[in-house]
Amino acid sequence: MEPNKTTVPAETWLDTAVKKIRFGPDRAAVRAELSAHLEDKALDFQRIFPDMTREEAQERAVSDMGDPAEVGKELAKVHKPWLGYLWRASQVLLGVALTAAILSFQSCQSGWENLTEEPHSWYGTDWPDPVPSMYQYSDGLTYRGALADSGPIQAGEYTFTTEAGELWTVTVSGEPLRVVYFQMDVTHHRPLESLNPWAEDEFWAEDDQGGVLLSHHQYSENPRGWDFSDMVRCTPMDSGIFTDRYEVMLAVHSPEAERVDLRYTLMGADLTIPISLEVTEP
Amino acid sequence: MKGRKLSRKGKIVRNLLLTLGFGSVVWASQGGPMPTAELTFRQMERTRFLASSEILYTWESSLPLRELRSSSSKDVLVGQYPDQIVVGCIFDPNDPGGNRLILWPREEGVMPVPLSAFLQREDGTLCHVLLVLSAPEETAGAQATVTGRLENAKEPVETVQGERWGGGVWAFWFPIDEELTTDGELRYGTKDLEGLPYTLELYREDGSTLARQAGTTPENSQSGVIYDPGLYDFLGEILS
Repeated sequence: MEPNKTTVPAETWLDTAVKKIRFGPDRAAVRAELSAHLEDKALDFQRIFPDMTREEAQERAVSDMGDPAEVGKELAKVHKPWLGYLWRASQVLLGVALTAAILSFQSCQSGWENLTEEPHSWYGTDWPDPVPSMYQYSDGLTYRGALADSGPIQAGEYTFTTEAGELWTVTVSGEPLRVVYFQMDVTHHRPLESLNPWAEDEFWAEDDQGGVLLSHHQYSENPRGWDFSDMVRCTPMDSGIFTDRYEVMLAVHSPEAERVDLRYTLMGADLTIPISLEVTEP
Repeated sequence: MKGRKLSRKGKIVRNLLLTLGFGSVVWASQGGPMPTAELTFRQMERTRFLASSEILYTWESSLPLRELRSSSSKDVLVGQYPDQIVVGCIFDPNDPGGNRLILWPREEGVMPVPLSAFLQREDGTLCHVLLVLSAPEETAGAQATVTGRLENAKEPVETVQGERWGGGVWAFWFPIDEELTTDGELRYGTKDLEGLPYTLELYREDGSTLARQAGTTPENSQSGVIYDPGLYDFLGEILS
């Protein structure tokens, strides 16, 4: 059976076959693919029938491809426009988001530094430990040993844990003190939702003998010169996406105290983190 | 080994996931701000270990952030707990450190609450604002008089008409007016509208008096509430 004879030029056939593809880039891509296919077919015919001219080969190839309208219907079913537009939109969105990320990185270096920098002690790196850094001019500073970590304490949506506890003894202005240092992790399941910015100034402490240490905020309302031994020092060390770390240093005045509780009671909150003063590892 | 080429759907999913990733990076670089005042307010509650209050009213300035002075609040939210009132003042959603959340003991009946921030009118005037909570539903008008907001003022008694906000909340705006006459240097009390004698009158639709109340506006003594010293330096600047 002879193939359908058609005098439709290749370009016209291609235009008809792809015109129902509504998404422009798809239409161009399919047209290019069909054009290449037609070209290959024409070359094949010329190989098989060496006497066939190029024009005849192209006409034969076009007629072999079938009715362009029918081909166009099938192609339109496969190449849905909404998918093409969605793809284009996703490219635009990605470009915008990438540009915004680069610009935000350039303009908010400090914000990035907070998230990416290594944990750092407020007491600096000149001394191996924060306590010697703080009490370098005091008499009799002696390391007594490690303190036990506290178990997780839940307050609202935050979980508090302590670690790296140290106990030291020192004499300040003739008074023997026990200095407690530890690091406190505050974990939250909402990303970047650290405690309120003033929280570190509101932690105070109480030992089991009734001795009270003021928060930084309370102390600042009635400062006593350079004697900070009645104050809890709570300073941020590290900010993460889900966990923030603080370091806490306080001095226990009561020689009989066996435990000191770190407290937060602002705005009706009632957070207590117990710290045992028993050395676990001298 | 040749990698498989992603289908169009695969590319769309990949692009959207990457967009989400980069978008998160942008959001994180800005400190993770909340998109609405209500969400910011809720975050302020959570970061202070407070439960979610029942929000009575949310007020938003009609002025864009760039036109607001730094001491003027962009949004004010009033919430209530069984025994407390919480008022949140949001200055900049992208700067959670500057926003304020104040707790007040909840009182029976109509309750005055001084706002711990300036509000700015559309004409640029800064105002101290006194909120009144639990106004009866049938309140059609209200008037508040305070005495002594202005130290050394010739006319220490000021009366303003109230503005209904909603949820039983009314607001009384007391302007900071550089033209006010004074004896000597104009000075404002350091507690805004706190601790001042006041009278309050609520009216019905027909003009008859619904309620009359007098007393002293409450003072907030909770620690950790920051009366930004810069606020008073700012007053000095605009009055000098």
